[in-house]
Amino acid sequence: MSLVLHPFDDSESPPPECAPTLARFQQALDGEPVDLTPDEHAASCPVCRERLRALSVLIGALAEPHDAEPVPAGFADRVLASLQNERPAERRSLVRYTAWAALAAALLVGVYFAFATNRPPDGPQPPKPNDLVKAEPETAPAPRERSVRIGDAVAQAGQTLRDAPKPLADTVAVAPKLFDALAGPIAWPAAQPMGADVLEPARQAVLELPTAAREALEPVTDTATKAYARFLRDLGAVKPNS
Amino acid sequence: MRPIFAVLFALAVPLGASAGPRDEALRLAPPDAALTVVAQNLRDHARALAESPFAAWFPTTALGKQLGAGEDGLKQFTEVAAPVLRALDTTPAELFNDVLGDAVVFSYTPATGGAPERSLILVRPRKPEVLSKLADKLNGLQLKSGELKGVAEHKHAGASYFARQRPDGSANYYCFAGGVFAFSESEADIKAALDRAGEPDKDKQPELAARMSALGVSDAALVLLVHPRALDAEIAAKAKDAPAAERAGLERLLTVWKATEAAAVYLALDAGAEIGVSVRFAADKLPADAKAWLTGGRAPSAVWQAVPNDALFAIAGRMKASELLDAMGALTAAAGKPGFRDGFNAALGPIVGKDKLPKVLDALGPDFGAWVQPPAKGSSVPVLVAAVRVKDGATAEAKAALAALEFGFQSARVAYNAKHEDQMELTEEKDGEVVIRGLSGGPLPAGARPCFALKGGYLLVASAPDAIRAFRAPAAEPKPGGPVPVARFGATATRDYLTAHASTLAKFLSATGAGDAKALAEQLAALATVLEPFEKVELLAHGGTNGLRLALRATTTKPLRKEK
Repeated sequence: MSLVLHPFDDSESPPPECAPTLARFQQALDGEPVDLTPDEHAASCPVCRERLRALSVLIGALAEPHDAEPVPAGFADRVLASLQNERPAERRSLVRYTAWAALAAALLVGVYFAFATNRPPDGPQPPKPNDLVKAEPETAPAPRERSVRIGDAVAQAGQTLRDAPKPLADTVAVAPKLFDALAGPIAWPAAQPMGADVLEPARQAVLELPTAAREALEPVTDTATKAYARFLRDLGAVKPNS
Repeated sequence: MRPIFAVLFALAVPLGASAGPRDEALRLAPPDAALTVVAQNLRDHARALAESPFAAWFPTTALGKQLGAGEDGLKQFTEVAAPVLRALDTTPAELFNDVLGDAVVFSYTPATGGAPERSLILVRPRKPEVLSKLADKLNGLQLKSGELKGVAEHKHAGASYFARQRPDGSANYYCFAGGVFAFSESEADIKAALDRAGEPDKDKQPELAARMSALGVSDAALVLLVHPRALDAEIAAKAKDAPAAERAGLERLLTVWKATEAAAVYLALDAGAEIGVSVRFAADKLPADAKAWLTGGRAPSAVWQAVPNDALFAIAGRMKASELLDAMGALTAAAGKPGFRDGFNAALGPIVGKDKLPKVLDALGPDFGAWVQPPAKGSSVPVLVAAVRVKDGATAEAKAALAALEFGFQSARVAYNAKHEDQMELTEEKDGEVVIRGLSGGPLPAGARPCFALKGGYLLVASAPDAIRAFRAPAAEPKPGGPVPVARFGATATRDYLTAHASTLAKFLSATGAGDAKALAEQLAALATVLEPFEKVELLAHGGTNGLRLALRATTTKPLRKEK
């Protein structure tokens, strides 16, 4: 199985307005605690939205609990070498190349951990003829068929599905802005002289209703959230230690 | 015994002749679970959808092309899931048609008071042999890869179940009983499922199925059943621990919660799609005012007859103004805060006359509504109209209400004129015998002239006089019964509006600081694209003696079912 992630074309220099967002993504890849909700730029830039989506999938995959296993010597070099071999004609700046090579390397490392190193912690192990670590440890990894780890594949498919609605959600995000802007000119004439100060507590109480209802029903929504998590866990129960 | 033989043995047990696949699965589900998710007839729904005019049309739309372009989540999901299916020697079609297409149930109860979290997955396959083959294949693969170290057969109540043992000593469990596959991380839950499968009265409707019927969601494709009693303690603790300011509202909710016998969230599919909430109460335990809101038959607001078909959005109901204020007061009651009704009386009493206010409020309603309709030619601002019926013969009260409205408009005019060089006017124009008073001048954009009038027994407020001219008072009294519309979003009308005014709207939004005009124009175009599959979305209320069902019903541009 080979995984190729080309959510966007980065053969050109990114526009300057993308730079702060890309810097934030790089921080996330560096392991720093970064809020990955779309910022103002990412909300309006389709390329950065795709980058963010790819990054979220990657970080989600890396966040899956896996047993620690040392990366074999020279692994990163082999990954970089294979990437160079794949796209030799492209001339990139060192900074961009490094950033996206790091993303690709991190993805491959994530796939490596997910597919090759998630072994049971103890007990006798059955032979694994297609194990990436044991097969040809000192040569560059070549695409090959490998045995499927059902639990990991299910978890990855689940993550992909969870990320699917984001582009639609981003599109609909403009609706509240539109509503707010249109509500102004057609709003009821100012009520200040009618005693808005007197009505204010009542107005506030009405505005707080949705929040109050949400908080009051938290036991139900929390239980639904736990149930969803449990369902995913049960589906992934075919994976050890899941 | 090897699992496959146990399965064949279990399948040989005759099933209750009258029980459908869903009920066969529900018979094994714990009736006291906090949440139970039921998916039924997915195969039939999927087939009907695939053969529908919508399925043929949607891929030709801009949104359909976008979603089918190759980078959407569903395709990625399919690509990622493909190796799993290949390894299990099955196909998506086989998995869906023969295993998951009839009935799938998931029940869940959170950990409480020292009791552990519980869950159970039940599948009633059309072809049990396919599921048993999958289970064996899965076990074989995982034994080979070392994810499992063994599959052991156990006995309970004369039936077999299997433990899938992991190398770390933990296990998960499954069994086949009466044609239903059950899976759980908990051995106790599997044993309990076997106990329920062994109960003698197989023709009796399962408790959860009866609950679905009572809630009116029996035929829904997807149902989330909530068992209120399993969450009583958590709701009570929430009310007890709440800050003093919120406690009154939460305790009120707790009273309603205790009277709730069952609740469900559901998705139903027919020519359109419907998602909703259905709640059933022990009516005698509800507070009197809540009972009036939450139970009993309903009639649609007469105002719906006046709402134009191309309205972008509309909302309407049937309730007297005084009842609405009382309800708002009850909902917003909080210790240490002034009451809603007190604030309202203090603000409007001096204007209408404190002695007249109760009579005026009593004369307004019960039919009311408000809607947003497309802008007039030359304007980009949609028109807002609000209408409330005035009780027949309540001439004095109507005059008092008009006077209060005029005071509000005059006050707004004076407040604006005092601070600005450009001045607003309160003008008057005629529509036959009807006098329309409204504001003009000042900062109002083209097409926006807030105004009010009394016409055809309705008190009207609108953002343009032409909307009042176009208003036709409802001729017929509303008839009770059936689903009652509460709100309606006109997706086609909104899409037409966005398409026609995208450029102007983007500039307008940009001027308010919402962002770059070009990017906003793209977002508005994208929003219009998202709306294309829908004609309208309605919020409907189904009233009943002991409950209420609120449903969001989407009517798609093309039907989701083939026309018969």
